[in-house]
Amino acid sequence: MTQRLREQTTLTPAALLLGALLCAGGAGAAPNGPVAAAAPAAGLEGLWEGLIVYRPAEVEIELAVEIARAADGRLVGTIDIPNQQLQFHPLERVTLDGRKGELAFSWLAPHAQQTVSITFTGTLAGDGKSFAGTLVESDAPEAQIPFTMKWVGDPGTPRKEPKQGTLLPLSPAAAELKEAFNRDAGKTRLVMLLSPT
Amino acid sequence: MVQRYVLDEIASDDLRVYTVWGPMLGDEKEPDARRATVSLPDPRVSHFWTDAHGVAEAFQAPLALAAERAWDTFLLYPPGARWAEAAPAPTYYMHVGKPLPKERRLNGQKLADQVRATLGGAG
Repeated sequence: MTQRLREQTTLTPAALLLGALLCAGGAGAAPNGPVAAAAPAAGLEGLWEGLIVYRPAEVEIELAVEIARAADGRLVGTIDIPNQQLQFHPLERVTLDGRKGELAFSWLAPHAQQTVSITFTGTLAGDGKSFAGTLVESDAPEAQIPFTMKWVGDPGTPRKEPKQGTLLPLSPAAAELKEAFNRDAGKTRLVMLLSPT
Repeated sequence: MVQRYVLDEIASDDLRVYTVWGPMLGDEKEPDARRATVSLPDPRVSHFWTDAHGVAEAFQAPLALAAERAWDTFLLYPPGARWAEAAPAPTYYMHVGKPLPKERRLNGQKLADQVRATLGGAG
């Protein structure tokens, strides 16, 4: 699962359409600005932000889920996993039976060359403000990964806007890094060498 | 992990983070790095992109990595440390999947504790 979620994906037109529908007000969003929502309605409808915890403080992945009720009464939604550039990805199944809920989506993990289905099974808190449980990946059903989500607003509430930072080119000798490191010599410094994917 | 445990929790302006995005897996491109910058939006972070392995090789020796480049490593330096000829040795480091001690595998909480200690020592 960890590896799967580290993979990149691309948005399908369907995902974009569903995201646009939810965010543009097709599922009850306000046309202008954030929706004022002091408390969640009963159920899973709304914008949720959460965390998948593979290993506490070691491997944790943020996510956002938006769920709304379609005209035919079905619950529909999308999921964002920002560090995988997964955005407005459609949920294939959203159900709530009492306080027991289930969300599921599939995606093609490019490096794995296979479609992986991920199912979240959880319990909605009595006050409707949190949803927590475990998720299972189709190709590793023995692993149950804990997740938590907090309700942050009604459907249509603006999601966190990812802000791209300025990217500086580094010469082969890393002179720009060296210069910055020494310029900030009076500070505590953390150097990280990472893959962007 | 670094954003949530270190940058979100430690407000000090006496901290700077330099992230070098590069071809650790082999096929990463600059647009990947541009997108990845969103995972570290803190203004104390500088983002660099390289399509070569020079910097990861430069930090092999300070980490005593004989055969592996230093991708997926996190190196902490106190005030006063300078980069002269060779890449400087950190006072503390963490890593992901390197042939280095398991207790140094990346853990956001432990890294934050070390950053706080280093900042405190500076004070």
